[in-house]
Amino acid sequence: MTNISELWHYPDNPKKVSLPFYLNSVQAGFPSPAEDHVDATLDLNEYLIDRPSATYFVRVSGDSMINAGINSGDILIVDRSKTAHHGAIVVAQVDNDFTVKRLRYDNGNVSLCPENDSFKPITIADDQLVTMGVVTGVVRRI
Amino acid sequence: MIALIDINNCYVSCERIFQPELNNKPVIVLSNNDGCAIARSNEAKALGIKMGQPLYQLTDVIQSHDVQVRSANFTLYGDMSHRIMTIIAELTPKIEIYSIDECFADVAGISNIEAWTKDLRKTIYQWTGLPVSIGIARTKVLSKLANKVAKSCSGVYLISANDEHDILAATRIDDLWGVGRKLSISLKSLGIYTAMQLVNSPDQLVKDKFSVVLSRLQKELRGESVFAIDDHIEAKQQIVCSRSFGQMITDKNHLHQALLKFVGLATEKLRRQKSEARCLQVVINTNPYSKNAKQYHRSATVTLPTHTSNTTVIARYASRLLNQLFRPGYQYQRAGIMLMDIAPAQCHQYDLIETPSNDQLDDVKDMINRRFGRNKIMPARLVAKNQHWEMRQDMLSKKFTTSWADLPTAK
Repeated sequence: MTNISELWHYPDNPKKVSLPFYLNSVQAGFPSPAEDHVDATLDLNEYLIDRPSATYFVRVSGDSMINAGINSGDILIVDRSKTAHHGAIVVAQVDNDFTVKRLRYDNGNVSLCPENDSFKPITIADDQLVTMGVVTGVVRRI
Repeated sequence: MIALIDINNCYVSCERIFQPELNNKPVIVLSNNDGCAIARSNEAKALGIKMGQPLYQLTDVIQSHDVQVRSANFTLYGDMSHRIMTIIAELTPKIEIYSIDECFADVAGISNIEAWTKDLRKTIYQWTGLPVSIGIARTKVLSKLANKVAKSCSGVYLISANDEHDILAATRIDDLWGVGRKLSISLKSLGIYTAMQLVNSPDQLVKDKFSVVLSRLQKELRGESVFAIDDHIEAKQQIVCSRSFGQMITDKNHLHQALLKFVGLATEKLRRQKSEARCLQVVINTNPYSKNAKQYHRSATVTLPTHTSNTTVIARYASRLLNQLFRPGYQYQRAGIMLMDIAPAQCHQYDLIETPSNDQLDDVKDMINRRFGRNKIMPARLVAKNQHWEMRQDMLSKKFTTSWADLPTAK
């Protein structure tokens, strides 16, 4: 038989123990001079992504944008909430494929321009332009 | 005013975002295990493909009309749904997520509702690539009707006081939210065929002959708001995790492994809604449609000693139940578990001799899996080379938005 006093023993491991959290530590020796200057850690998502619900990642394949600093294998940060203006780098849909190019409006013509001399611009009718979004960043691990 | 926002042909539309070759073609998405059509593009609907129609009946139409077929990719649909709900929540004062593809929004404080709604629809389309329909009306039930009208016209429809009457008169009782087949039959036997006729039925008759639910429905149809917008996600009262297997299972170990995986998924859901369960049911089935195979359908239920959300504890009981249920010599086609008697974890009642556990293993496991991807960490016995019971998903598209290896590519 289990001893009654054991049964009534208050559990050693209560589910949660709340301890007061002191922003400034108790004085013991010299205070750290950095104490009041600690900020949140840096978050790359916050730096690179303005609107998470409208942001997509796209992998680059090929060298057509190499002079814009976009290499094959890079990850593009594509923001669908931004409007594609003249001069923006966009991911557009051409013949059921996605392509990354610089968007140009010249004298009523719309073209998707590569940034590599060995590629040719793609000219399209204005109402045929389907963009996935505007490229707002490039991520590459070295 | 209440808006019901609903993603058009949700699963098909999600597939199309990153697979432009599916645009303007008939597309269907199949249920788990590639069993039957659970989503159809408008082109597929026009070919006469029905909701829930089994794949084997569709082989001819698929070939002759080049119908594009995809296995259900719930990872992708879940992520896109989450994006849409976030966008709507950012732009509206109060929303209630109703299902993966629809939500209610309280638009009472907005001045020009119709213009605002058209903007919202445009924004959602630009930010996600998904088309939505928006129905607006005085109550939730009416907003469902408005949404149906919206689907057949420009995508946005507001039921004004003037046309409420016409719409109610044109709505069959079968098409009302919450009216099932049985209920519609008994309503028709009383001569109630349309929503308008239900509105005009005497309150007492509805109350006496039917449940309080129908009486509420009647009020909602009259424009009296009974169902409020809940801005919190309601905790589920039951959590079910069950699946048909890709191939028949005869080995008990394989069945056991499947059940343990279901326990893992169900308990994770349980913890996510900060609840605990006290009742566990295990079900195992042979294929009921197979005429030659011997049939065996059994379930067993156990009440656990206390409410718990602990994977290991529930897995232990699931194993015991399987030991009771399993009979060799059958070809098992389906298994599942159900958690019941669910209560909030914060209301946990300790019994006299129970030591509160501070076992944080599950929480840590959930955290790691949430951060690094599903099943990154799991019980060793589930890490099997040969998962005989995994689903058949022969036409599965990539996880375009949730896996680094599956990102769409641009040239």
